[in-house]
Amino acid sequence: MSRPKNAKYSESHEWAVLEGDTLTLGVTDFAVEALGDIVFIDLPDAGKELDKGDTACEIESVKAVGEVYSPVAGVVEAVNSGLGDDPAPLASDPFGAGWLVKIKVTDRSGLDGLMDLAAYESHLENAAQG
Amino acid sequence: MRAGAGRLRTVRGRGILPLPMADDLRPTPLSAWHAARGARMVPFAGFSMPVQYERGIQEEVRTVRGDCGLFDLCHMGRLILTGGDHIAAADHVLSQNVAKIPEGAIRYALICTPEGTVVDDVLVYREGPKIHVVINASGRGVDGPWFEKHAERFDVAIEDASDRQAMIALQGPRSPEVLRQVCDTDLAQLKYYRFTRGTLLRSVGAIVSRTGYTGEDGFELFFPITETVRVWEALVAAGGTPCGLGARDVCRTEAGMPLYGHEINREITPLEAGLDFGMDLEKDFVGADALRAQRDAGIPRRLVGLRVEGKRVPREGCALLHGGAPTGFVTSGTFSPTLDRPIAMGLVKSEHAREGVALEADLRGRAVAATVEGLPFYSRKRKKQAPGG
Repeated sequence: MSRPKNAKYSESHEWAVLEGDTLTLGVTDFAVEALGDIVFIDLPDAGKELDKGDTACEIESVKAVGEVYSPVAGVVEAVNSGLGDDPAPLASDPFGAGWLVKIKVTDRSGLDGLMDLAAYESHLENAAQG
Repeated sequence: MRAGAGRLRTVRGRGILPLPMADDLRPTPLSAWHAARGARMVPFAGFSMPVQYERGIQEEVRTVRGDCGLFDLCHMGRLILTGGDHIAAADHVLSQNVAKIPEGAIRYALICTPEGTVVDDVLVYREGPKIHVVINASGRGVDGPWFEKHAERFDVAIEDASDRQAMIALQGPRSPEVLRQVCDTDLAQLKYYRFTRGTLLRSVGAIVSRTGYTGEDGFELFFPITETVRVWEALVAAGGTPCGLGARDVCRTEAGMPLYGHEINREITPLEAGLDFGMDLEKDFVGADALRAQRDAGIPRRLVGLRVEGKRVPREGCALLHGGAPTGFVTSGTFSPTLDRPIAMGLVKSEHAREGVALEADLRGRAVAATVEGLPFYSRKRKKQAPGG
C-alpha cells in the first residue's frame, strides 16, 4: 500500500488532501486493517456543517465502529455515496476510490496539527512498538 | 478515527487498533502457532489470543455455520472437585442441581453472589468421583478461591487443572466428520451435552464433550496440555479451519448466548438474563434466597433481543429508551454475517421486554428505532423466520 505524499495524516489515522478550499478526507490502510471486516459506512448528508473534531462519518465493522473525525471546520460538499451500498473500495483502495467525504473548508487551522507522511509512518512504528 | 465498542475490548477509548501487546500477557500453547499463521492477536482476559485470521470474521462465522471451525480455548479455566462431600459442596456453590446430573451428562450453571448476581457461568460435568467445572478465562483466579471460601465446611478438594489441561473446540456441522479422523470415540452415540472418555491420535487420553458456544453442533476436547499443538495440527489436517475469538463472539451472539461481563456480571442476576434453565430455585445455594426473593417480588429487568432499522450497529453500552425515557442498555451488539444485519441484546425494564415493543437505541447521539425481538436470533434447529413468518 503506497501512502500519498501530498496528504496530511492524523494520529487517529485519517488522511486529508487540500485542493483549493476543498478537503478530501479518508482513513488510512492502517485504520482499515485495524477495523477488520467492514460492513457499512454511514456517510453524512451534503450540506452538513462540521466543526473541527466532529464525527464526519462512521465505519462499521463486524466487531467495532470507527468514528472518522473532521480535522477542520467546514461544510460537507460531497460524499462517496457508492460506499454506502458497497464499502469494498474502502478496504481495497483507501487513498483513492475509498475516499469518504469532501469538505468545503471554512477554518483550516486544524490542518496545522496534522502530520506529513514521514511523521505519520514513524507514529505507526511507535504505536507498533507500544 | 476512533474505533470504539469492540466486544474484545481491543479498542474502546484507545483510538487505535490493535492495542500493543502488554508484556505480562500469557500465551496459550497455540499463541505462537496462531501468530505465525497470520492471526491478529489481542489481549483477552490476560492471554494473547487470536481475534481473527486473515480470512476475516465473516468468513470464519460462515465456516462455523457451514463447515467446521477450530477454536483454541486453552485460556478458559478448568476446576476439578473431588472428596467425600464434593457433590454437596458443588450444590452449595452452583445454581444447578448437581446431585441430579446423571453420570456422563453436562449442565449449565451459575456461580452467584449472596445477592443473587453472577460471579461466573460454568459447565458442570459429572464423572464418577469427580466433578469437572469449566469456567471462563475471566474466572481463573476467581472461581477457585470462591469455591474454597464458600465450600469451606465441606470435605472437598478443588484442583485448578487449567494449566495442565488443554481445551480445544470444533464447531460446525462437519465437526463429527473432522473429529472422527482424530478420535476413536463413537461420536454418533455421543448426544448433545454429554461427554465421554476417548483417545486422540491413538495415544492421547481426552474428555470428548458434545458442547459449544456457537449455536452449532460440535465438540470440546480436554486433554494433556503438552499435546496441544499436535492435536490442533491433526484437526487442521483433518479439515478443521482455525477461527478466532471474534467469530466465536459473533456466533454466540447470533445464538443468543450470554457472555460473562456483558449479559451477566456482579450487577445482573440470572433471572434478569433469562437463565432460569441453569438454576434450581427449589434447592439452597449461595444466592438462592436473593433470587427467590427477586422472583417473588417481580424481576425488574429482562434480557431481550433487538432488531434495528438500517445497518448501524447498537454496540455495548448504548442507551435504550422507551418513549424518550431510559429503559436500559445494550449488553452486546454486532453485525451478523449469518443474518446480514445488525443484532444486539440488551437489558430493559420488564414492562418493555415483550416481542414487538418499540424502543429507541441511542447510537452515538442519534436515535434509531429498535424493536424487541425474541432470542435467539439464530437457531440451527429452528431457522428463524422474519417476524410474523
